[in-house]
Amino acid sequence: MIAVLPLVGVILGFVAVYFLNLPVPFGIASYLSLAALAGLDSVSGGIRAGLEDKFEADIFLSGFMVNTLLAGLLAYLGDQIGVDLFLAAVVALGGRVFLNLSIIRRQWLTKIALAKREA
Amino acid sequence: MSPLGLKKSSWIWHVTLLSFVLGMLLAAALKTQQTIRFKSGIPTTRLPVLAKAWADEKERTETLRKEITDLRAKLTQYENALGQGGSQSGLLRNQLQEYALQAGLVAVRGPGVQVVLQDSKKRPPPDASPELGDDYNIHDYDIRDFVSELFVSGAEAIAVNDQRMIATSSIRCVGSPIQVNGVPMSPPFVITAIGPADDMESALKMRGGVIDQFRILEDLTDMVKVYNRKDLLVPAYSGSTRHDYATPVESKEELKK
Repeated sequence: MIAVLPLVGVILGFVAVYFLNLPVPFGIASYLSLAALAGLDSVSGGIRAGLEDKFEADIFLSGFMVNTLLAGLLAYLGDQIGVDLFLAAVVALGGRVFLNLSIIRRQWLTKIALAKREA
Repeated sequence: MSPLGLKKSSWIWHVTLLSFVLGMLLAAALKTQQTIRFKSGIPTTRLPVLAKAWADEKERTETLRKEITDLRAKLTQYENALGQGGSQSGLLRNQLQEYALQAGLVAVRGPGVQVVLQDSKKRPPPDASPELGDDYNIHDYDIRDFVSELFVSGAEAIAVNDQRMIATSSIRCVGSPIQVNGVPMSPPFVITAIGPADDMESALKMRGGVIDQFRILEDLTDMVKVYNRKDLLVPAYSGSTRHDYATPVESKEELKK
């Protein structure tokens, strides 16, 4: 049951912000979306590392902060110099999210199969 | 025992913590995009759709502008018909035409000057500051200076490109293009002024006047050309003339309140 905790976290965070009447930052709207994608990448990467028994808290936490900020900053820099780095970030991060999710799926299936055999 | 193992499951708490942050980010991103869509009335923020919406709006503006011109022409016809009715309505029509002339709602022709403002063909020196580099382009304040100078020296009707100057006219900079009466345009800017041509020309060219003072440090006289013409045409104002706030004052007593 403990495995659903990240999902609960996402829902709680979502509800917390969505139903607050926060001012909407139009100027950084696209960077905000990109930061959310970077966050998705980090969290899926963290779950993957956890399932592979390679999880290290400091790498995970720093990765989340740095990647989220960096994705937004890179896209902003791209806008300034007229290169669409936004797309590069979307492709790179999106690809990694897919990769992480497929590895998570395999790890999970393997562990469930092992647990059944032990039982 | 769960397939994850109890001892190693502390990572789950870390992930949960950041999942919470991720949820907040997702919500903020979603809400921002939704608000943008809601405010703009456009179902998406993707560029191709926005480009299409922009083109549609532009076309609509053009159509509406044409409609205004048509309606104005029809109005003139009605006024002419009114003039044939009798001496009193003829008087009324003359007065109407006088006001329409004053308001810039009819096209007019006559002698005057034409000022052509253009970005300089010279390039700023490579070590020039951005402020100095700016001087090589025409700005909104340049056009305003010339228009004001022309009015003060007797111009009766002025148009910047095809935009007639009226009581509520505006000339302002919006990034690279300049908007005159809210219509974007780019160089060359042709200011057509009907009035005493010689007076206006000498007013522009007098010592210490607009042309004499124009970019005096860089010798950029190629940006301004003045032509003295016998017959010029200034188009009618084609924008909206609605007044939603101002109402006429009927009597002097009302002014004292």
